[in-house]
Amino acid sequence: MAFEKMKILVGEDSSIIINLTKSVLAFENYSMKAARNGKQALDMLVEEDFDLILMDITMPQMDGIQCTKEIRKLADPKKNSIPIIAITGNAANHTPEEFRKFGFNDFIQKPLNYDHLLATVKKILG
Amino acid sequence: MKSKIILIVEENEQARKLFEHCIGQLASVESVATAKEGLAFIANKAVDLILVSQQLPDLDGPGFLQKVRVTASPDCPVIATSAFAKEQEKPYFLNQGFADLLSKPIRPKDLILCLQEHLKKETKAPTAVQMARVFDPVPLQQLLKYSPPETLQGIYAEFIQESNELLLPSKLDSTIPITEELLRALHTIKGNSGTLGAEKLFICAKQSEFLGRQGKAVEFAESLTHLKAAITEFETFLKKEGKFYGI
Repeated sequence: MAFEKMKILVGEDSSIIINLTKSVLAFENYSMKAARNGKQALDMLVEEDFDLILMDITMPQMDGIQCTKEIRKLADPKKNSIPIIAITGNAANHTPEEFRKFGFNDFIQKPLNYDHLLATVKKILG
Repeated sequence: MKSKIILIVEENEQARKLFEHCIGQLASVESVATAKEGLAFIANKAVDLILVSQQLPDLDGPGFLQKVRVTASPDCPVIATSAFAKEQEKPYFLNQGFADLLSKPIRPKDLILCLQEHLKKETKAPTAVQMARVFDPVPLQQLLKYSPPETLQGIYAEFIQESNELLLPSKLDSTIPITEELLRALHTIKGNSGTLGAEKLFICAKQSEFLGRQGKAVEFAESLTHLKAAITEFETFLKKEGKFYGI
């Protein structure tokens, strides 16, 4: 059986961060798709299966917190339990417990440190 | 001195009351019981000095200090108070970036003397923007482990172009409207520049976003001038030195 790449959905409105993240995740053999806002991320998850989501908090239309709450409400148990890592530029605004309450499994801070990002992803996906 | 504002971040109510009472004679006092409340307070209001307990329920002292530095006040003195650290451990605290250490129990006289000393020091220190390097090479070194140089070269070029475009509509006088769109653009530039190691640009974007959120029109407009200059400076730097750093 062919080995299938793990699929990561990135919710992020900055094309710079999307391009960087894509090249870093490709290095570790993950495949990645990007959504430019929370609404799009939610739609993409409903349409398609992913193994993990990296979710920026500050996004237009629907922010990362709202999107994560909506994902946790989905009926499909495979979709609503997907691991979600928050990416935040304002971590001082929330405590780790609050991130967990919003439904995130973990969080990382911007500016992004890609060693740390990969370690956090690997911790969850193996 | 009465015009100065001191913020007390202290979980123990009794200690908080005592500090409020002593310091009240010296300056205006605000007090909170958690790191989170303290950070929320300084996000909205500038203070002249912070007194922070090392036994807060939600964050340790160095963690709190780090957040103060990156979020609001790059140079406001922060004094550590601790029930466990002794006077001999002061060098450790100074090394962490605290202005001083007060070991509990604290005698009111020592408290007042310490605060007077630190409030007197007018901060003529260089600003964070002046101190910043144009480029911090560490993020790029990290990225080069994962991405080919030509990909990164393209991303850095895209970053400069996008930053300029995001600021393009801004006419730089104090009448520039502080719109949500502009603040969002600054937030994006902040996240991108930090991730790419454009250190001075990152600090400028952070300050602009902060001043804009505070509604300080004149300072905001001025900070945008610095930001635009920082983008140009970074662009020139990459053209000259990019090869040296591998892109």
